Amino acid sequence: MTNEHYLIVSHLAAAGLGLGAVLGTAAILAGPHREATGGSLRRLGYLFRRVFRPWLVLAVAFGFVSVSYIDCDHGNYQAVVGDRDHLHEKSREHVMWMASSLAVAILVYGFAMVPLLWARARKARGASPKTRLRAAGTDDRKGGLVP
Amino acid sequence: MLSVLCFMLYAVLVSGVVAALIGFARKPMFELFRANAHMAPGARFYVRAFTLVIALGAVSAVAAYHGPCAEQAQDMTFWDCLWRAFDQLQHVLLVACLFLLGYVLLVTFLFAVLGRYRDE
Repeated sequence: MTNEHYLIVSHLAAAGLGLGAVLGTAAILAGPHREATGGSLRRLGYLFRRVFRPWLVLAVAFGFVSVSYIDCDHGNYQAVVGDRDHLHEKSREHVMWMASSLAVAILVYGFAMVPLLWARARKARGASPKTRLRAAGTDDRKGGLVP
Repeated sequence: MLSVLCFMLYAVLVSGVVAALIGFARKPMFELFRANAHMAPGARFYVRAFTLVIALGAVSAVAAYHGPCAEQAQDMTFWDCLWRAFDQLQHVLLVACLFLLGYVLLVTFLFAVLGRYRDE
């Protein structure tokens, strides 16, 4: 296999691996994610469910494009394809960046889920400000205390 | 041949570290999420996400493995192999520590927000 072919094959393999990682991650987390985003906040949960997969795809795509083949020793295409070790190194970098971006994306998404669970808990307890006002015998639409 | 053994040894060490981390943290995490009914829906998601985060962090560290160069590979001994594996393992441990720290922060934040509710 020539270095040009290796470059093409390694790009395609890295892209396939990234796509596989996204599909695998989405499949592993699909059931628990539905469980966490279901319940009383239907619209917000729906938004989270719609956004989850694109979020993972964006993270892996970010990792994929974060690899630069051009550096001080390899200033142009000819220099890049002339060095097989450099191509090996960059293929490994693709995997490294995609895996770490995906891991960070899952972690960040976990933080984003906290307000959703909190809002669900508040709704379940009936602790929204409006409900509390009603429960306390006041209604802001009528401008004060309800007799 | 020894360079392959180096990588195998490294992969075994990484798998051991990852399996130990996941094994130690899973049960306490499930118990934490049983604190009340508001945290329970997120239990499976957060525990599985934890497993994935640690495993992907390890994959990323393994992908950064640098084998011995051609001159070094010729006259390698078992000890060279072991030292190289330990040397590379520091990346895995650092990445695992960072992701573990991130996850502990996440679970602490989650517990601070939702853990104060009591089931009625």
